[in-house]
Amino acid sequence: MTLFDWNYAWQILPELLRASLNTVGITLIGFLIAIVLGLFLAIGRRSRLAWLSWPVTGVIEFIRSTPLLIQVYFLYYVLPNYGVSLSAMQVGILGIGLHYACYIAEVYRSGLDAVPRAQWEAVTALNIAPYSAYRNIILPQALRPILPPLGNYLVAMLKDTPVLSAITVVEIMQQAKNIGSENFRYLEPITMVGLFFLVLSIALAYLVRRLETRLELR
Amino acid sequence: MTTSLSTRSAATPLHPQEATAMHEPKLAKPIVSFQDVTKSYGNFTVLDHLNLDVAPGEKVAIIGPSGSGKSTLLRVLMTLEGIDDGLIRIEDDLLTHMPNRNGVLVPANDRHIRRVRGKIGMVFQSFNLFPHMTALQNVIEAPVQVLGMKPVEARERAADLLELVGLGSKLGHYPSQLSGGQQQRVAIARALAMRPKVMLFDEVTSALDPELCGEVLNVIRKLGAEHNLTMLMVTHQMGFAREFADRVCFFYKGQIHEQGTPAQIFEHPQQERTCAFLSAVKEAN
Amino acid sequence: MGELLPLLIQGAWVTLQVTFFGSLLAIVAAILAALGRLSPWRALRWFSITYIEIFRGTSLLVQLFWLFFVLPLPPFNLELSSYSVAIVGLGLHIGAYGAEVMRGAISSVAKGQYEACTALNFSGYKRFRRVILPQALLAAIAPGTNLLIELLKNTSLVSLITLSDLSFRARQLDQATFQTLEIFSLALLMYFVMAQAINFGMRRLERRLARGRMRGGLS
Repeated sequence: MTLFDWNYAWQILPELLRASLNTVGITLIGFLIAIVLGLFLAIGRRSRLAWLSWPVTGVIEFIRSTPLLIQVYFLYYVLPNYGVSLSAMQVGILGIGLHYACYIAEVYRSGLDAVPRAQWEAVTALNIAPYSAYRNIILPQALRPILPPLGNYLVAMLKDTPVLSAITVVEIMQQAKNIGSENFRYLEPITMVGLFFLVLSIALAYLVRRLETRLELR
Repeated sequence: MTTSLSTRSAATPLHPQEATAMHEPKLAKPIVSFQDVTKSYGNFTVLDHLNLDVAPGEKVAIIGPSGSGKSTLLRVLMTLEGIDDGLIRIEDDLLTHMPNRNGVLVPANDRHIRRVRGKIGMVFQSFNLFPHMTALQNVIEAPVQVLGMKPVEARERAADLLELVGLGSKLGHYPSQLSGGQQQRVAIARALAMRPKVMLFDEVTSALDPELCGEVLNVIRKLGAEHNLTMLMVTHQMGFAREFADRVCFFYKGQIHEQGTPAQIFEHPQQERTCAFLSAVKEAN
Repeated sequence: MGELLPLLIQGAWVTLQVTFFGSLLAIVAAILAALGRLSPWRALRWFSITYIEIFRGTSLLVQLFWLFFVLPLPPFNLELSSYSVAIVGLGLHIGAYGAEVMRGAISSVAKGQYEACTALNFSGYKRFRRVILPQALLAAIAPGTNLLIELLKNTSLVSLITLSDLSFRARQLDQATFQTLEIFSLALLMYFVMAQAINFGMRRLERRLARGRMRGGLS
């Protein structure tokens, strides 16, 4: 038997590419959820209202300290008991978005903390409404240094999507397993999936570094 | 071996060994010898065909403006940096080269360098103590790990050395619990533990608060009086150099611009640059 | 609830074992890869960089599946138990991230320490073992703690290669009893407690290693 069956690899490529679209789609939508939800979580955590900041802190720390897999199981198997019926894909996207929202909340927090105190005081002194304050003054300053870490979490999220195969989401890893079990040959599909992630993560990491230099952070 | 003095003018002081009254090596072989040593960083020449012989037991103070190459002289001797040209000799051995089977000089291998380097000890401006070890552990580490000394023996010796530098009661203290002066004294004990023949002191009081310099200089004074160690000191402490050194070398632009006994250099400097430097130092004080 | 706990605790015990041995492998791999990365020999540098990039760049689950499904078949014909696959996969994966942490930690050791070692005539090996590594390990504890917790969380994936860890048992129990809410809540709680235990342990370790290094600290 040859080391790597190139014909077989070529054959299964279309199926894998189709599934890879799922992988990329899940990553992008999940990331959108994460960056929006993360911002609210960060603001909630920094709030001076104890009844808001304490629970939010608790949720963030709890989700960050526990495995994505269990959280996804939790959502997939518990939600239906409360009348919420979502497809596996939807639960997967929600789960991974929520998980990374908590990491990204911490990134926002350090970004917001880095904005000099004087800016916050100026906003108060000039009596600017909270929404405008964040949108026009605070956020633009906080955003530049946090873009690279956000980029890194995008890459991390991409590499975490195979976890969702456990709740039957057909992303690229699950597809590879299916192909492998059908043909009794796993070497080619799994290696190709590995290459897929490797190439994407190196390309994305390179883009993040380019972004850093463009923002003059390096 | 002939000693050549590298200066620019004809009015050079006496041969340093003839001028030295305190220790009489009787024209003994130099323990350290720089022959035409040159070192550059790109276009900047930091040691310029340097020639220097140090007699056994001699105490040499090296003074001069910053950037003149004083520290580099010590650093190349300690093999912290390489040289571009010339030879350095320690006792009978060449430092950077060694004879191969046919007697031809080739660049020295690691083993040779380590053997020859073992004769030199150095104390640094920033102490460089091991922060994760106590004073005692700092002093026993090298003898045990490098010389293979038995820990019990090394411990005894270390306690004696720390006693010698006045820190007998601080054996179990970590560097962060000691003052700058105390740390530097531990550093001296640590260097002495390796029984070097030549001790190098690279601006050892420059990083200390003024009131802590005295305790370190006293230890060096004591070492000079009680032991026959050869010492090379780069220093800004002119008063100390004047009283302690056998010979003072004024360094300028990578060369020994002028040298002689402390009396000659401090009271009757011949060269213009030497005078300028000394008066600038006096101004600052 | 009482019937759920024993099986979950059994699973947690497997999780702890995998975390422990995986951590050991990760630390060794991290130190070796960091040294390889800093090595003057080009071949060693390239090997280390390749290891680091591959194990960081591909997904952990891909690596576990590769070790579990691909190795037993020709041309490799190497059959590893799921326990071994778990430890090797997790160890090498986290080790690759750890290499960057160690590289930063080793670089943070002051240059003066190297000069002192030259002055005292240390050999390169002794210098690394006795002077550089102890200081680097202390610097690596803070970022290393995060990596260890990552490792703990990542052990949940070994349930997908049929190892009976906490996640596997939770799933098993759920399929048997359908007490979904209690089971997964308990599982989450147990992971949380283990993560805090790692945090606590590493902080104690840091205090012990840094003994005497704080200004005016206890002797």
